[in-house]
Amino acid sequence: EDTMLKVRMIDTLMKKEKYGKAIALFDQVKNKYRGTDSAPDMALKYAEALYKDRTYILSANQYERFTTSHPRHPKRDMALFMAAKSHYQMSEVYSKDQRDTKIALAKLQDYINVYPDGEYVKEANVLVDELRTKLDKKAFEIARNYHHRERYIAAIESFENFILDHPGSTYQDDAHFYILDSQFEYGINSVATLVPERLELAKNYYNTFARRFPNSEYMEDANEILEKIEAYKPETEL
Amino acid sequence: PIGEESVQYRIGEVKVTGSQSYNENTVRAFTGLRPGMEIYVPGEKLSKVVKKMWDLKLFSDIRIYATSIEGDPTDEFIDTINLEIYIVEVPNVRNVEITGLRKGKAKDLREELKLQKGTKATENLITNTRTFIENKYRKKGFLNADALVRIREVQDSASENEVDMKIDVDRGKKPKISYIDFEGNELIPDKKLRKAMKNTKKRNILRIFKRSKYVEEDFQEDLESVVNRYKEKGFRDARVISDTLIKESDDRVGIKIQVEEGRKYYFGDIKFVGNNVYSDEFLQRKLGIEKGDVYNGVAFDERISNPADPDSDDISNLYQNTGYLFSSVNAVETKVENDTIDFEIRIVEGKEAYFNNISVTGNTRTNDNVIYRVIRTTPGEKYSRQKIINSIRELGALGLFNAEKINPQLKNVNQQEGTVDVEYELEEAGASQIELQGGYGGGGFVGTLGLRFNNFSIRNLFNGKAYKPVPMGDGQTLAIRAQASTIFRTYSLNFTEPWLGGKKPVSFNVSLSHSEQYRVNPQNFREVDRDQRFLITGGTIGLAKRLEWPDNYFQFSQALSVQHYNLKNYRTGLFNFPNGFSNNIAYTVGLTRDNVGVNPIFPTYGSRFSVTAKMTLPYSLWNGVDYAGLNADNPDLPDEYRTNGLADLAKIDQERFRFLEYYKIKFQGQWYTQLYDKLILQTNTEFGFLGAYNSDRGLVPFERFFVGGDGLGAFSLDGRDIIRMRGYENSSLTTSADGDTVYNKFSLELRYPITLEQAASIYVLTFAEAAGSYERFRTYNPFDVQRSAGAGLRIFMPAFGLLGIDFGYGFDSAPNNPTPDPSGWQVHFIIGQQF
Repeated sequence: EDTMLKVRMIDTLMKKEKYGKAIALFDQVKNKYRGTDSAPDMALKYAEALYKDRTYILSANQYERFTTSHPRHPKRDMALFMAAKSHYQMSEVYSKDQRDTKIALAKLQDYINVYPDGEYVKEANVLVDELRTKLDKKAFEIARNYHHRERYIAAIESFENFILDHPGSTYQDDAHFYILDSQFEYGINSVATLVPERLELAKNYYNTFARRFPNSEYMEDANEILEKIEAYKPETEL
Repeated sequence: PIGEESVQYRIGEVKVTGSQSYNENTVRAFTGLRPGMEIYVPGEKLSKVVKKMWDLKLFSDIRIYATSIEGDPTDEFIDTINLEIYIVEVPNVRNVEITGLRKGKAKDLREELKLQKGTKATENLITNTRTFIENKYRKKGFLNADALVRIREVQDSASENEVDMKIDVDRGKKPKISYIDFEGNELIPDKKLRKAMKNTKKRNILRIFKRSKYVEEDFQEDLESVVNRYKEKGFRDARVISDTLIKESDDRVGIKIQVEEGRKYYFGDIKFVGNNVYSDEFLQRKLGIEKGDVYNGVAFDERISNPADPDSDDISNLYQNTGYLFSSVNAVETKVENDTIDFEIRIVEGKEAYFNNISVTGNTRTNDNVIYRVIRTTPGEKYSRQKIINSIRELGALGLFNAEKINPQLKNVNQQEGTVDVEYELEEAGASQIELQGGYGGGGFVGTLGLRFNNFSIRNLFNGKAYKPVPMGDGQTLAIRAQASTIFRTYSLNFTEPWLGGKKPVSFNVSLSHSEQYRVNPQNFREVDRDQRFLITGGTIGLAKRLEWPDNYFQFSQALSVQHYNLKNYRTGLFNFPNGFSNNIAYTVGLTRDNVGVNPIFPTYGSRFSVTAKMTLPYSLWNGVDYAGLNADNPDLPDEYRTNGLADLAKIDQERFRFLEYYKIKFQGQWYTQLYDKLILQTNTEFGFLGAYNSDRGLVPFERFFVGGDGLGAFSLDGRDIIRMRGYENSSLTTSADGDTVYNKFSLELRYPITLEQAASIYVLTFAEAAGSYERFRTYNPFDVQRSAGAGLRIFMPAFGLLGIDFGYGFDSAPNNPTPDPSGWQVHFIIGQQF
């Protein structure tokens, strides 16, 4: 009877959005429900309280456990999605560790694969897009930081990796432009004898860039670099 | 009722009895026995069920009964069998009681055992607990440790099925080793072999730091050291034949070790095979071992590859640090003839490798750019193990990550392409400090509240989302400090961005401070008059930059500082006015070259030079004030400096000090020279000069030099420089009461370390110094100095900083001393960084 009272209390607390208190009550009663018929519903409600209380580590775990222990429950799809979304919520800003981003992506993909017509597929796709963009931005910014610190070789290498590893990214034209700029800066600041061949390579990068992204907002800057390349006079001619 | 022969039945019902906490359905579902199912009794299915349940380790008794059989066993139809599964659950542990240990130790042990409420009290648990405790104490040298683990039922009706666990620990005595004897050693005496054993020591009352105890693991390690000691001396075949532990009494054991020395060997021919990048001669020089040398297996292996020392100058590292990631170097004995061993050093160089992707994980607080800018491995660069090691150091030096847990992983090693990725695994460490303290000092209670954030992010100051609980991640430092007592208050704020602009390590610093001091009765510190106060408000903006030319040990720094002094009814020796103000706006420029190393507490080589110039604008050039006429004796003194027709010193001084005008130049040079082994000589020379642009306006009474004593600046209101000169009382070499304007100092200090451990570095020193302080440049004579000599001790502990004591004897009389007696013995206490 005591338990029943607590369960009713939990429902009221949840309605009042007092999730912290609801969780405290859950912790008292959840063992009594182990193995009973209402266990799955309790588990889901508990997970929901944790999620809404923003303790995403625990809600992820709780939803996760639900999906494995109740494989045939009609709300399993929701739990699978919410487990992923809990990780999505924990995903840090792009410039910090992306562990949760990667887990969330894998789990969202998992959900989409298992329930291709599921209720949350649309939302899942939106989240996937957002997280992918975040990973794109991370890799791009790391490469751009090499460029900013004038470590041009490292920048070129990183942007080339970026282009290969993030094919659908919106930063593709940016990356191509930065390769061009890095190669130009690297070349023009080299020992005189090496400048011509390095600028020649920069010119190749320009051609690739201009061919692939003729409408890029960087086109103007790229043209400026091209002008500088063509204006360069090797010292040996003097 | 079940016979010997297997009979097939159909299951009727399955009942579960005996269980108290498990649901009947759950147990039934677990067994997989369903009504209607056909089984053989006795049969494989039932035994499997029983085994499966035993494997759970949750039950102490499992029985399956046939409660009844329905049907006629003689007809051809399958009879129905009703089953009862009787289970006795393993009791849960309710309480764990530990006896035989002190309270604190018992608590620690309880935590280590991780016996939570509800743990199943299985046989396994009992034996594991016992061995765990006994091993734990044996590892600490308690050879006779004994743990008795008992289970007692709880006769509490309310509880379901619980027991108490009683652990009685008898650590016994920690035996000391009364002797370590060797047998079979003819060429290396017992004493030397005992010395090779770093962990296991004979008892000796004079040895304080390492207690004599026997720990099996450490002892095994020591036996290896004994063999290695032989190997170093050419005894390649040396081995330990037997080792015996002899129990003498409860607290005494003895150790007997029997060794076989074998013969002494020498190096024969050493050939290099497979080397294309480096020549035989070059590698031979690197190896540093010649034909005919006494065979030293340990040193030889270390020259080939020494995994214990990542900075080692060995042949493997030679390849690893120049791009040859896939290289391997192996030494093989090719021939043993009499006492000569020939070696072949087989080298596989492999393809040159380049770093490809560099990544970082675990930075849950710190932004990528803060980390990447100190990592020395960059994409597209030739592979070098040294660069990875240097990166670990740089990352550790940031102070933002757990230095022990920085873990670089080589990933996607691609021998075809010659590329390798490096992933640095990091673990964020607490980077904020709170200082909250109260104490008695300076004539009353002093309270301090300080906050220091070492990984601040100022650009997120107005970004609510970034507060966790303060904006962090950009590697900036923000320190706020407030200190107050009955007689003074100080507030300060300091912000540092180590990489201004993110392009180069240009350190940018802003600090603001404000302090208020009240007049106090020197006889009674409780009598404070807050209407008489002296306020100082100031700020500094500085930029410091490491230079790449002439070399990267140079640092160039600039700072702009503003200080405003405000007196309210406060008389001080500095000014002739009790009410008034003064501004000190100065620009400081400094050039430093510092390559001392390795240990900042005990440098053993290198030098440190610094030149700084601090200057104000030459206001008197254009402000039109006639400073020559600005004195009380001038009959033409303008009226604005007079009160009731008389010259007013307060008004004169206010004009003179409205904006301070001076320039100050300081030079310091330090050299560290290794004289012998760890004996280091520090040579130090310094010089300081304070000048005025306008001789009519004269020298300011601020920013002066005070020479003599321990060199600790207690409270420097006026930008004074306090110069240490041991063997004399504080500031006693200074000829003028306001402080002098020129000084120079030379000193020699011999230092010898006692210990340079992490926990505490201790060294002793002796010194000889000479310093002179001069009121004016006119009186400057570099040879007119006071001399002293003495000895001292320094202790550095990370928690306390540097502490020290020096005893100095001054040979000369201090300038203002009325008698010509030498200064004599002086004791100086040193607190804080002073190297």
